[in-house]
Amino acid sequence: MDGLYHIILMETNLKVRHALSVTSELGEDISRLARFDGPDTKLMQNSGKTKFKRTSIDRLMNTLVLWIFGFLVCLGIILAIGNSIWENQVGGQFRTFLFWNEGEKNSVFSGFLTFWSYIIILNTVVPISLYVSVEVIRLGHSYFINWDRKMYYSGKATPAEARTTTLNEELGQIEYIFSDKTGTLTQNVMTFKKCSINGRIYGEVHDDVGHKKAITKKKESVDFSVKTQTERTFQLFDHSLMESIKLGDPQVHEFLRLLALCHTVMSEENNAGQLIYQVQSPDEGALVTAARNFGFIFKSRTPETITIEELGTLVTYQLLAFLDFNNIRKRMSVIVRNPAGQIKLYSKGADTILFEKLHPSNEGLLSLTSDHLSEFAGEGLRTLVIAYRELDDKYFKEWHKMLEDANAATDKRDERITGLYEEIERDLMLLGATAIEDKLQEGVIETVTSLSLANIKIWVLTGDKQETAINIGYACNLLTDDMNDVFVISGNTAVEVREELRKAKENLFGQNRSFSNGHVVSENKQQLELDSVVEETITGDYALVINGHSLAHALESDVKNDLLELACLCKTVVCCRVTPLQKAQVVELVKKHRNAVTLAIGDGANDVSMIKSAHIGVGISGQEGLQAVLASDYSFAQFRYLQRLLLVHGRWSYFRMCKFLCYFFYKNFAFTLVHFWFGFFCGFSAQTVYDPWFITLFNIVYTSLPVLAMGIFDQDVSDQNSMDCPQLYEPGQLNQLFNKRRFFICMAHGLYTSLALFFIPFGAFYNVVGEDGQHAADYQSFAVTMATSLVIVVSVQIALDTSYWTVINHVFIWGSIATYFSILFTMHSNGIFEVFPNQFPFVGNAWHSLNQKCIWLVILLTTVASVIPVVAFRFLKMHLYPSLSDQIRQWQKAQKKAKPTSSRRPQTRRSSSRRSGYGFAHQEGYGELITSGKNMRVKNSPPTSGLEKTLYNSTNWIENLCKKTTDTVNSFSQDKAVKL
Amino acid sequence: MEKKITDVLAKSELKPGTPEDLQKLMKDYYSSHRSVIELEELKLPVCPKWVKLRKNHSEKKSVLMLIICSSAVRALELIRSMTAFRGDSKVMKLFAKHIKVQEQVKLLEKRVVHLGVGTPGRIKELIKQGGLNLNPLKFLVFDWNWRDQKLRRMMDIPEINYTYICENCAKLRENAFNFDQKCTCSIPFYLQENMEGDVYMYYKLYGFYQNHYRYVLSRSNNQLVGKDIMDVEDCAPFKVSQNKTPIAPCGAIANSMFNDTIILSYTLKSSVHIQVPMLKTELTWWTDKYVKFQNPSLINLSDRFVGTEKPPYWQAPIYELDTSDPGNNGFLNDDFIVWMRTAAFPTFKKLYRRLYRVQYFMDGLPAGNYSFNISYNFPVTRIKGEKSVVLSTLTWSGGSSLFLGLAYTVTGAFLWLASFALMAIHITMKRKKLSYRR
Repeated sequence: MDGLYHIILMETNLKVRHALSVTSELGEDISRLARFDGPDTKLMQNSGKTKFKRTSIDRLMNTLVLWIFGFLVCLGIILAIGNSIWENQVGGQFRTFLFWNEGEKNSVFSGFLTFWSYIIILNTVVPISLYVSVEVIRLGHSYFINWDRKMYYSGKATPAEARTTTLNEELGQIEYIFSDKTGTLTQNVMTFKKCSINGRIYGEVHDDVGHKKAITKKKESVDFSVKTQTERTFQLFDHSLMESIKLGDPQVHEFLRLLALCHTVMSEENNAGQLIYQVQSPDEGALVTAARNFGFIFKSRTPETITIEELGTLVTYQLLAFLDFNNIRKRMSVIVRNPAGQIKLYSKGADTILFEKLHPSNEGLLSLTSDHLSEFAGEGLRTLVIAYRELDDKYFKEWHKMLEDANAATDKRDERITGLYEEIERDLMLLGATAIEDKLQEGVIETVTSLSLANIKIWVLTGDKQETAINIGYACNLLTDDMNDVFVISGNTAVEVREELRKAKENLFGQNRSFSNGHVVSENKQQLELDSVVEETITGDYALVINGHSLAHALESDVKNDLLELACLCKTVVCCRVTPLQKAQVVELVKKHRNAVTLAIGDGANDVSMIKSAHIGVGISGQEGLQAVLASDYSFAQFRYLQRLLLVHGRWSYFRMCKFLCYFFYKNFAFTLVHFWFGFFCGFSAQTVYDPWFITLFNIVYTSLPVLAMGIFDQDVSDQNSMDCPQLYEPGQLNQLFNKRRFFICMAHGLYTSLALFFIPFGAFYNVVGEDGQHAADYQSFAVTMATSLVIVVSVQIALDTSYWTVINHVFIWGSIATYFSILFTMHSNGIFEVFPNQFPFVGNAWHSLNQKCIWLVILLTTVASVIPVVAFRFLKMHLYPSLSDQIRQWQKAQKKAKPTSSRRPQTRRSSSRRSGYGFAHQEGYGELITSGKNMRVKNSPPTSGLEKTLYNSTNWIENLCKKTTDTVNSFSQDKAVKL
Repeated sequence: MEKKITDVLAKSELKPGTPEDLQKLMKDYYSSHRSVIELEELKLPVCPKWVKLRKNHSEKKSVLMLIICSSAVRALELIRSMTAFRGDSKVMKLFAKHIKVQEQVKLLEKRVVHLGVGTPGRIKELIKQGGLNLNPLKFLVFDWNWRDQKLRRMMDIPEINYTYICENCAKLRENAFNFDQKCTCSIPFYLQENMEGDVYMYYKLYGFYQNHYRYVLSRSNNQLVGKDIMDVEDCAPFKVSQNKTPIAPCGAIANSMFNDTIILSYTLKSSVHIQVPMLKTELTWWTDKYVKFQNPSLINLSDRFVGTEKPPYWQAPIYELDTSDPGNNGFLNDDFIVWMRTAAFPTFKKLYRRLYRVQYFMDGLPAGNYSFNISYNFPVTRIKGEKSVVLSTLTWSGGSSLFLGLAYTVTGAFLWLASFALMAIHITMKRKKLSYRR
């Protein structure tokens, strides 16, 4: 029997690992259960394929490297043709000095050989070391993420973790965020915030003037410590409710009694004798806990009784009937008989439903409570309306008999039961309403606001119900009342969905058209443009809410584009009741058709497929197991760290990577193209300009570290400023800092530098004579001059590019120059020549060449000529067309002396609006479990319960389970169909 | 103080003058010294009787007007710029670049030519060979004030390209079989101004690809440092001679060594020529002479080179490069070392001799008549190259490099302009910002 209990407990959250112990008990039913093991489990069915993730810069880099290779071949061909012509025109005669009797070599063959020689010489233009450097930089950025103290959650001692080191710069290019709700946006903790009893609001805090006041920690909370059995964590900031209880207000007592009776919570005592509640949904837990704190303590239950402690006295109620919750009813009720023999129906449910069931005499209270509900809803709280009805003993018996008949009936059982429920739940007396806060994670609102200011679109994909999802949407500021329209798509068939989508689109375009045609609008637009720096995203705010059923249809190929178009026009999209696989499909849809960089963030196993399929997956660690974290690329403990991850680390990574790439390509072009120009003056003979040793060492020793330091440490604006000014994020989304155009600019820059590097020394050397009259225009001196100029030019350029100087930058840049000179002098020294005369033929060159004033004049001129245009260009750009980061950098410099101002994000909660956000998060079927007693431990099971009844109930339960199983099967097959 | 015309010309922009310019100049500067009639004459056409003279001229092998300029390029430029003046008269280009002397003589014999434009070398050669009769010559025009790219005027070119001046020698050398025949050539020239201080003599080669990849590689440092005389591994294609004995010094560089001898002589009086004393040491870097190049042994040099053969184009073996000075012989020969340091570009100049400052030449080279006596050995025409000899003094930064000076001036000017422009932009933007803030 133990195994069977197990599965009952697990019924709503079936876990594969527990199934094994059950199978032996079920006997024949084994096949049904075994159908969903192994690859058929929910987890496996919903897990997407793991893909190899690469950043868009990676892909661009590969294309560019191919282009460069093509360019290299072009250069080779040009030089080869040049060589053929040269051999034909000049080389033939020059053979007198070169060949003894090799006149038979023809010029075409020579050109062919030259082609390959030049491919080898010019191969440095293809940046092979680029890939290694890029990886090193990314690794560095990953460590910065790991080490960031501001992303360390001390509550759970979890630091942020970059689990993939190859995606960092893509964090700076995110356009769409797909977020899970529970555990990501919210903490999945419900707290009882306020209530309205008999037309009076409790739980609000008023200061002397009577204005509402924000709840702060300083305010003294109601002291519950007098009570035994209270829960430490509970806090309420209103003393009036306690006073009302003490005064013995019957309505208040009835309200709290209802909360203690009407629920599906199981109680349990732990070893220390403390009451522990096993709750099926956190909302209920919050309500029962609230009642408990106010002195109405739910103690224990049997299938037929409920024991509560009312202000110190134990009272046992007889549970006569349990009218369970379901999605259509949106309410639940219990019928109990109190020790005095009165039969009462206690009901709680959604306001829209319960208000219709009220007795006409409640009219006044109804309107008052209704106002209160609006207020609660406006604050993002989830509300429930509480009502009761006193029942006649006779009437109840009749009704109960009918119910039993209905339960025993074979056909139309559900309809009959529903009808009976409807009948008894009427003429209710309104008690009041509760308001529960679905606690958001810390800083969610700020993060969401700031991310949407950064022009990132946030989509919420949740398995929750539409109401809950919308409610949270409002709570997080994702949905606001300022929005022009919120489209809700909830059709159940493909045709309906298509129709709804079309309507929404027409609506949207229609509004926009009238918007843009109208005369008033032009003024509006101007105003908007003025304000656009502050609030760029307010033009035409729309939101789309779509539920899972509709989504299944909408993801079909012909409706897909409609959905996508509509969704992308909306500022916020909320998808509710979606399966994990659908989450992934939505991500894929956007990824594929919008060509945008997507990020998925979630905490649970149901987010794994979404995390895997998005460009970047982020897992919230420490909430709901490790599944999401293991599949993710980045993980941290709190949603709010996303802001820092994207706006600071992502932006910096992207910025650094782009700068690094620009510089790297520039450097290689400047370094290599010199050979090309020299080709025209050395008979295209594949003569290199530099000493072979210099060519070997240039990329590895002389120039790799400074650019690496820039790629790792550079930052244009400080982290605080990038957080404060989310608009800075935009260049990344628009791919502005490194793209094909930028590449060509870098290439042109490199080309220009190579021209200056070659032709200035060329012009100077053409007729130069050393200070001692000896000729200085020899090949080796030229090589040394060029190499020295190149190292200096390239170092000056990196110094110009570096916008954030650390000690390491200084060490690397000065160190590189020093290394160059020391290696140069070592390799040109006498000692090394005497040992290897053939390997180091440049003996004495550095000393002689660098002793000449004119050589230094050449180097200086080359440096100035190749750097000054860049400086002038940047100066002009910064003055005439300053980018946002330029402006902020200037501002930053100006502010350096003054204290930094505090962040300036005003927190405004929107005014109230009427929404039905009723606080039920659980599933139906629990009432039945409770009355059957199946979910109670053996020791708790009442000795009086008859065997027959148990059996009856158990078969009932099995049937129910089967029904649900088929449902699940259906939904699975649906998933599969969509997947196919 | 009155300015001289030359001063004005020196300061004015470099452009071809027109008759109007000259008239204006004359008027401006000489109107006080000249009579009215003389000034009236200025208004006459440049060459009043030209048309008549042209019609009457019928003699061959002669010209009416001879224009002498500094280079072939300048000659072409002059011919282009006087289209209007020359009308239908016949013009002949008298320079060496495009045609050989003999052919030119034949051409002159065939045609009636009115105008001759050319360089001094060729004109001199033509007169010498009797190709040009100077009797009918009415006008002789010197393109005096025009300066070439190096700001040199016609008369002060210290560089003398003797490729074609010594044409017969050049021809002789074109045939490799004549390598043992001696050929000398004398080039007289006039030095306008004193060359003060140390004077250096260079030879300059045009179109000689000393930076060609295979050429640069074709040497053996091991051999040149005296370590292993027989190491000719890297010297292809001049590793061994036909009878398989290794060459010393091996390789294409050594084989093609410049082997003209150039002697500068000074005409002291009308008939007294003295040889200008020249030094052939300290032409190289210290490291080259003492580290990079070493003889196998200083004593009995010729014995050390037993078993090797001289490079095929050489007239004498390596140990006979300078028999008078053992410190300058063998691999240590300065000329050899200078040649072995390969040039960066196909046009290059290499130090040949330094002036020994004694006697008349204590302060450098005095102005006067000189001549180069060249023993013409190096066959540049075979590679369609040219060679010349250059005399030069030094400035503080080495040889006068016009390019660097110009480049610095241009860059400096550009920098000034740019910085002013940027400063202006900076200030206006700052003002704008301030006003915007207010």
